[in-house]
Amino acid sequence: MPDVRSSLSGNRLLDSISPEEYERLSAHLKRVSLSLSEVLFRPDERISHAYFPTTCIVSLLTELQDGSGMEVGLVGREGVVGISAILGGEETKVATVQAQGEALRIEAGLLREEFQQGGLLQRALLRYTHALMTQISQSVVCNARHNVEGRLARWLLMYLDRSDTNEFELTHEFMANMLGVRRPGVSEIANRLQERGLIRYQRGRVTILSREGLEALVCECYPIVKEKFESFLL
Amino acid sequence: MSEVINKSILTRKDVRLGRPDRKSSFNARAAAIHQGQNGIKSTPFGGLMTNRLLARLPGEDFARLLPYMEPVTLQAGHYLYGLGNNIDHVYFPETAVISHVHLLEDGNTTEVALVGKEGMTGLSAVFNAPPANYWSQIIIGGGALRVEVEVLLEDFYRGQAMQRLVLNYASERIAQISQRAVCNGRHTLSERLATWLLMLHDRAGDGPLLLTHEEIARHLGARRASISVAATLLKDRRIISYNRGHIRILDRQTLLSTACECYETLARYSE
Repeated sequence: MPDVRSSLSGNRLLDSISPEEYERLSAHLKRVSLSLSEVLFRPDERISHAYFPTTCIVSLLTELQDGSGMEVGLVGREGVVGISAILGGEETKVATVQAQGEALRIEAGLLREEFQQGGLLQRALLRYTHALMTQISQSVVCNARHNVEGRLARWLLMYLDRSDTNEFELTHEFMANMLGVRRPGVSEIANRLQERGLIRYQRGRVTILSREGLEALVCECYPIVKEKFESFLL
Repeated sequence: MSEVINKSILTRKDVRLGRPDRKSSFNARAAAIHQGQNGIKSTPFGGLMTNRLLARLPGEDFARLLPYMEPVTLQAGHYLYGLGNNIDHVYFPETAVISHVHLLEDGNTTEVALVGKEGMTGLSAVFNAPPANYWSQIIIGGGALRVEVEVLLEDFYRGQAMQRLVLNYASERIAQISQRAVCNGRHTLSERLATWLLMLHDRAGDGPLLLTHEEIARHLGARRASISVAATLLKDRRIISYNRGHIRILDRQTLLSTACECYETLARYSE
């Protein structure tokens, strides 16, 4: 009964596993509400939980010593936050809730045990890990090569793909980290998209007015990464 | 070979959004890259075993894999896998260093990760994912051990030591690319060049690095002219020597102080 299951879970990765696996896993899943700017984990912390977002969106950020940083990945209902729970090794990123909403939470150790059972869950998690690697890799390329408007369009479209609304809170600080610019420069960049009629940006709130317009402006990185996530985002 | 490549380009084109076609330079570069795929030679095993992943395998697991390991010599400038190719072998570098190079629509390139004796190539095949969207270029020629993907997969899905090692390495690779993403966004080209040379030095040892400014530019995702300026500065300060495309690191200490903080973070993963 995949339909019933998907409406229960709301997370695409979990929806791709077998009913038996989901049944077993669901005993350990707890639905939690996550609020804007909540930090799920920081570098070098032992990961206590992994999160399967259903309606929230979580940003993965790599921080520098001076406290500045850059967003390298975005996780929504297509994926899982805290992949190092399965891979082992240290977490090196900061995971911050960027759009408030719900997620299914599981203890890291329990997820690892389920992963080790093999099956569809293991395959889905491995495939997702690789898609996440692609997303981060593309940020390496994008940050070296592409202009800031194209990059902003990319993040906004990534948001849109993971959300049911075309309106998000986007603080200056977060936008600065998304684009790797200083905070005072953020308004000007957002204005450039606003002047083209693509978005409205007011008091830290973005409304997307033209998806087509953003797609025309976005750098090539967006379709490349989207293709890798397609099986999860559909 | 060319058929596979054309197909992969078509696939990419399918998902491209309405924009003017800039594919011709991409195709030209793709074709040039694919002329050089004969740089892999079976070779006698020289008795080295410096690959960190293989060296960490418990004896029993190692013995099971050993009959399937083929020592190869990898020649610089050639490619292990092209864009969209299926991966038939994974490579555990010993002295060779592999660079994952992304090709952009305009024909420019940018490196995303380096793989040396600390790692392995072919994660996308092991993870049952679609082929990676980068080229795996041999940047420093040398030795490697290779294993057919099918063999490695069998061991991986036993869920024992090999799986733990590969997953752990994947976690380090994610850390590496995350750091390079922030580095490319936040740091100057001369800092990035110093960091990159140190990373190569760690993997390739003290020998000369055969790299033209043009090649360095292709890896760092910068313009050749900007690389020349940064490299000349390092040469004038006698941090590196540069002779007909041969780079030597003369003063590692000063190079360290020229690099950004990213090197320190990245070096943790190449020890």
